[in-house]
Amino acid sequence: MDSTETLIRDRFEAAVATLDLDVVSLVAHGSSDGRRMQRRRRLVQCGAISLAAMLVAVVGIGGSSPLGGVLGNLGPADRSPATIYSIPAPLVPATRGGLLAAVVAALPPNTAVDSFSSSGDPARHTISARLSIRGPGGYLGELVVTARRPLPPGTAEGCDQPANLLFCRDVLLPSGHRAFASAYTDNGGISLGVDALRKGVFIEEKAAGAASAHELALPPRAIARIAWNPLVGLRTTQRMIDRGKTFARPGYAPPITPITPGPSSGVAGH
Amino acid sequence: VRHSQHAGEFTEFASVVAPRLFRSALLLCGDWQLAEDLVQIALAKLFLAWRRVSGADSPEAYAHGVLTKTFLSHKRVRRNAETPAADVTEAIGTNDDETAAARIDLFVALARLDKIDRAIVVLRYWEDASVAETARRLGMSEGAVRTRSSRALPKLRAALAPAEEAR
Repeated sequence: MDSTETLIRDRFEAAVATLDLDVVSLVAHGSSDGRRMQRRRRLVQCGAISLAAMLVAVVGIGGSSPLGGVLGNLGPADRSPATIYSIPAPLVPATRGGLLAAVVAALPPNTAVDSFSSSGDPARHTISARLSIRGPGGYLGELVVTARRPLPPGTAEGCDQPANLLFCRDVLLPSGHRAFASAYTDNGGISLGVDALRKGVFIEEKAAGAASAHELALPPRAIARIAWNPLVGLRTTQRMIDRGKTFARPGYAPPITPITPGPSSGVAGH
Repeated sequence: VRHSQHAGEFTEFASVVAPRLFRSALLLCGDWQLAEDLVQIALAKLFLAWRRVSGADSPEAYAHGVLTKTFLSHKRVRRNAETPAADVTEAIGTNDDETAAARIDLFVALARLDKIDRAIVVLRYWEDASVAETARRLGMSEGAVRTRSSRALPKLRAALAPAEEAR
């Protein structure tokens, strides 16, 4: 193997080998789409059979059917059952506490959480985590992370252009997810938003006294990293849900340097 | 009963192959959402043909074949508001994430190849398909696969060179 082939293989491996995704919903959508296609195919077959029946009837009137020998072979052949495969541990529907725990785990090191709360209803596919934070630079901010259903394929939202808009642009997150990042002046401060439409995560950071982006508790890159974190969303791991239960304990304060979820954090896949 | 048994078998199979299909799809198209869409379309086709798929010598190879064909025949839906620009990743910041930066460099480099060349490179060097297997899956001659592969690799290497030097 020459050096170029080795380089390409290595780059492929480095780029995608560790990536994961929500297999459960992808498979569920794939099978429901398949069922729809099957129904459509049955309808077409039904139409074709009706047409064939009419043809047979017409031909039958004139003499013997030319289809008689073929119709007997149309049934599907039985095949041996598929090999049994093991099922990877799936992501599970997130709870409000689970989302809080996932967000706290995704914060950059040395970020202090002064207070936190959560709202929304997982059954209605919208949950939010609200945190008052002090960033590594000492600036205060309020972080609202909303997990909701991702927008379906082919739909997109554009940037509004209000007078207080500082910037709004399409961005490509490091995971490959597209998002909108926007910043507004807001009551004398700055409000920064990252909307990962197709991942179903919207994050807003409000910094009441900030005069510039440098005075935000978390810089845009940190917000983007939370947005594309695989455990932040309507689905997360059981471990995050368990960890989230501790948030309900009176007086509980999340650790200042959070544990960053690594590959062994229980994300489904290989 | 048989229908639900087939659905169960399919779900089991799809749960295992979907991540691998997704990684191939991402290399083929360089777009997370489109990769998910391609996998979903491929899974729907596999569901429809499950009897044939489950009876194949290698159901997973069959699944990858369906994915490749789905990618080659896919026509992108025009999205009026999504126009990712080259500089935005820098704006959002990936300098501290070596893997993410390398991934984006690779996607940009792969995007410079045409669809068939990309499919050949991904099949040969990610899925480890032989020249014969690649030719069979893409419906072309082995000679054409060799020729296109030998032209695509230096192009890809050249496209990756600036990123390699910066590393």
